Amino acid sequence: MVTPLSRTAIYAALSLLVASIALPFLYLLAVSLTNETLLRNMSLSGVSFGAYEFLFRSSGKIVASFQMSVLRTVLGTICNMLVSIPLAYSLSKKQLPGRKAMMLYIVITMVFHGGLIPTYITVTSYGLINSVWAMILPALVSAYNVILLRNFFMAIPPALEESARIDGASDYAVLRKVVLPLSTPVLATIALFYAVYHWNEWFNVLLYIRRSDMWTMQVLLRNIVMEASAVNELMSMDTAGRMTPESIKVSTLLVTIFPIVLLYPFVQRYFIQGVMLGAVKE
Amino acid sequence: MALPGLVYYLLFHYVPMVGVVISFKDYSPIDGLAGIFTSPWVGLEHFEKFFGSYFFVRVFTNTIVISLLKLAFGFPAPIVLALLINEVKNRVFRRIVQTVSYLPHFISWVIVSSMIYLLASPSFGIAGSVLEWFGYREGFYALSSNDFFRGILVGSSIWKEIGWSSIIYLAAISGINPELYESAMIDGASRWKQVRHVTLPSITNVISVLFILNVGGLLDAGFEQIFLLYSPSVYATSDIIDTYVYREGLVTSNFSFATAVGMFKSVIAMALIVSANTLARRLEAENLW
Repeated sequence: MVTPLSRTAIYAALSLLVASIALPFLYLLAVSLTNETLLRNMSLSGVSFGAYEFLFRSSGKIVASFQMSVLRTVLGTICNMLVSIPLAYSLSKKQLPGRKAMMLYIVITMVFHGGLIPTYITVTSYGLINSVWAMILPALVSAYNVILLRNFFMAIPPALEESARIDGASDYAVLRKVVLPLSTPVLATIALFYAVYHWNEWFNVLLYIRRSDMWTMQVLLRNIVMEASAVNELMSMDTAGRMTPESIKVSTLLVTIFPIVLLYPFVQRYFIQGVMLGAVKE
Repeated sequence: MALPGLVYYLLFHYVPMVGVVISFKDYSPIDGLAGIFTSPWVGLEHFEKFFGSYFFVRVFTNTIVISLLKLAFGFPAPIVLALLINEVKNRVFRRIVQTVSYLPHFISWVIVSSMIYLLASPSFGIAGSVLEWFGYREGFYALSSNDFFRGILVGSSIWKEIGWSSIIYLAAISGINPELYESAMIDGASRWKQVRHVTLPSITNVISVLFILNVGGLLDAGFEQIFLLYSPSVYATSDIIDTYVYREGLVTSNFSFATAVGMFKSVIAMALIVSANTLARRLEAENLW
């Protein structure tokens, strides 16, 4: 039986984990709101949204980067879904000619790839530097997501699709009218995975985008936290003189996290379902 | 219908694979895509240069050591978490733990590294004050210390992924037939013995599949995380193959050389995953194919 001691230990360990995750965020949030380095001045000298006000009003950089992140995430996720879904659907049909070859073709890319440099050469020679498409196309399809989708589609009873076909529906119509409505949990999960990937992706922006006005939030954040130049530029826009470099850094960080934390409780349900679906069907 | 997807793979995965040949050539960036075919052959020159270089030992060692550390600590951690969560009967507490622990997975490394950067900063962060209590001098900066850096890498990596990785194990655990537990209890097994003899054996399949996948990624060691956190002062303990490839290739434009290094890595990684899978098949555990 579980002894009281071990039960306490378990609860303690788990609470420690929760605290280690929640506390840093709360600490940074508090710092950004009070505009002071909290440890030095423990007094809550008044909650002020000054830092955020400054970020959004005085500095066009944040707004531009935020818009870029949103654009990339929305456009990217749409493109991802438009290509992944038909691919997964066609792969879920056993009678597809060359199906095994195609699966192999895709799985190989999960294990072996050309490497950073050849990919870089390829993408630049397609002329994608400084284009939104450089952020979307190189990662257009994720093999992992396609496999999840395919497994789900394979589990849909064929009778449903057959009856639609008997009514004269084309492949696309069957997909649209029968399969997709049944697949909403998995679709939501995959869309979520792609969207989170886009919001968080930073490296290929670094590689392929040379114009600072096309930066996404992640790149902007990295610049602000790590390099003095971006911060100084922002500081010089601070005519009221109330900002410290740290408050700019922390506030930008929180703005970058904000959409994820906001949407997280709502979508948590879906992705747990989705991951379990994918895992169980393996 | 599958056509766009397949074309994508062709354009963005297989075409770059062809580009791997530049590791046997003397390629110059000005030549563009066609240059892959027109540059002169130099055989194994780049590979020899790499193996003979001062950096080879350092880079390779770091990659292996960091990966093994992450494997040793980071692989069991989600399993332990899943087991712990499974013991919690209070549904509210359980939900809280799960919700909170999954969150870091959705936060990008840029954000996490910025957080670490801010918290570790001597002037601003609380980490500095904590370390002072332990006797480190004022202004000590953990991120540029070779002693601390790998610990920070492994620790933050666990922090970020432990919740998300535990989902699969929890799902597997919840699928265990309750009768097995009952018969163990009838035999007088304590909870701990139940875990050892019922829970763990039942999830061995899941563990071995994930273990194979992890071993296959042994040479990866977390490029993005390291790239965001490292600095020249910690290259000695943290420069891995991928970061070296990045600097050599994109910063100093030694494209052919960097590709050779990258290819070396891909080939070994592939060998690793195939052998790990064969091993699992021999042991008759679940495998990938």
